[in-house]
Amino acid sequence: MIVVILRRAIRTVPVLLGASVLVFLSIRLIPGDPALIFAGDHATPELIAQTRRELGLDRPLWAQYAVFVRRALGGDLGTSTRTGRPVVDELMPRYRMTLVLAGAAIAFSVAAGVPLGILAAVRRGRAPDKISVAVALLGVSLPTFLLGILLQLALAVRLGWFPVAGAQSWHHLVLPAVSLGAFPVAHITRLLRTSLLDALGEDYTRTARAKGLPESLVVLRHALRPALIPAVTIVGLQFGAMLGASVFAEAVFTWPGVGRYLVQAIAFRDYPVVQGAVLLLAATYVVANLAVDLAYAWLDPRIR
Amino acid sequence: MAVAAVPRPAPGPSSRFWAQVRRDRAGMGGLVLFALVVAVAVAGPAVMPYDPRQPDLLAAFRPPSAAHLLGTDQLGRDLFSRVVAGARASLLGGLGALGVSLALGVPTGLVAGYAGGAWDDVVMGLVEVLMSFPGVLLALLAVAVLGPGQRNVVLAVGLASAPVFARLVRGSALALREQEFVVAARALGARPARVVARHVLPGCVPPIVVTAVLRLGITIVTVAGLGFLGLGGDPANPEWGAMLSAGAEFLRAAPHLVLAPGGAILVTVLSVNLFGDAFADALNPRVRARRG
Repeated sequence: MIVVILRRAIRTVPVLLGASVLVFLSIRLIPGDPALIFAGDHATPELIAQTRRELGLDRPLWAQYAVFVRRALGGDLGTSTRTGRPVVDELMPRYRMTLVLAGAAIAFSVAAGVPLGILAAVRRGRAPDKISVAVALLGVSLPTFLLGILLQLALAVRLGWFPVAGAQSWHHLVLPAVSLGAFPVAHITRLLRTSLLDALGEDYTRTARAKGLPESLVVLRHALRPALIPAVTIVGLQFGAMLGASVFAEAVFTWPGVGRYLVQAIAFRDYPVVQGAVLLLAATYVVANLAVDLAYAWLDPRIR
Repeated sequence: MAVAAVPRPAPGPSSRFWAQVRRDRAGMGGLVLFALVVAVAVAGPAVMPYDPRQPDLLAAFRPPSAAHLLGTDQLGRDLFSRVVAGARASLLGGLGALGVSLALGVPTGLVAGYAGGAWDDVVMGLVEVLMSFPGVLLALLAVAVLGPGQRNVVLAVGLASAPVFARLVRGSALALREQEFVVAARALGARPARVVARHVLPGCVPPIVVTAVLRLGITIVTVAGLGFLGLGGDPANPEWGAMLSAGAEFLRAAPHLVLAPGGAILVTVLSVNLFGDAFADALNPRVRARRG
């Protein structure tokens, strides 16, 4: 087991390095003097000269990359050209908010998707099955930003059940989390339905039934466990995808997360922040995928 | 001279595929709906009662009426005309992004899968790195580099989708490389470019088509999403995402400002997903067998 973990963890190192190279090179592709790009459009000549020295811009590209990685690993992602504050200090509080939002969204998608999937499989071909398929299709076809606005309109503006926007309390978390979590609900429902139907046709389920167990116990205790394994993968992958999609939920509900900050940074051409935010989210995505694989190995004895 | 009766040829895979799609009622509904959206986009100016960019401040925030089918927006522009004009922007945006990702991903995947070796390692390494980013994040990074604007948004979304096709085609090409007809073509002395174009590429087409159709929903949504984030350039352009974010400022007073473009996005994406699923089912032998 430890070997599996180590082998899988080591494989993420080149991916992380590749991602950092991509981010590094992307920013260097922007036309213009990199010193000016990192010091900001209104920088003084002294600041530009200092930036040039700090980033090693007079040295070859690979040396510049080495400087970039060394500083990033030391927690130094540069200085925001807009606020003049260290990028790390600007990102960290927002990163926490994004993780809270993505976590709540995943919790919602599991809480809604697992019962829907079970219902669809157990009542296959009947009304609950059809309704859950329809809900799943709607979930996939309603983009986060549109669902967010519709929820905002109906439940916040019209009915006043939830605050329209902001992040002052857990109450503010509900609508952004639901609009972000709706998309994976569809995936979880469909996948769980399929894998549960497969499991219900297996020999061990027939054995459980033959023992005279009530159907609810057959489903919940014998068929559900193996059927959940593929669902775990989806949940993990979706958590990663949410790090990207949360941009939209954050924009609709003015949730102070990394995504919203990244979009602002793009608009203000604040490239140190763009670079830091993308790097942070990509690294989180890679680590989340690693966690999924490990959870999968832990759950499925065949892989162990 | 008597001609021997020629037996009718068995239906080919393509007509079997269409027969299968036609049997899928939801899928056909989606196809019809999508055809309608395309028709609106093509007809464009012919069905617009007003200039979608012409403000008329005295007529701002009008609710739907006979004069303005969907009402007017905060600048008094006719919403129906803007939604119709937006159909063209959104469809061209989604299709354009899909085209970019196919143009980049398919050749790369073919070369990697067929040539193998070092090429394959380089391409797959790059694909793995690109896939270590959530798609939206990759598109955002590309927009940051290229700069905002509708054309750059389309390019960015296309770039972000390309690895999906590269990986898919590489897998198909890898499998086809060892097939007898490909080996035979090689043995007959056909040049690699010819073998790939005549024998490998056709075999990759069905999975490419299914993935492209399923992907179209995603590219349309992502292009609109980046427009929603204000990265699509000139906000006067009638584009569904930008209209949605502009309308969100007036949720309380004028909800029709978001309902009109929102409904258009929902109908379009739903129709694409419906027939995309039907396509995928029709090409999936397991589903085909189950339905008989």
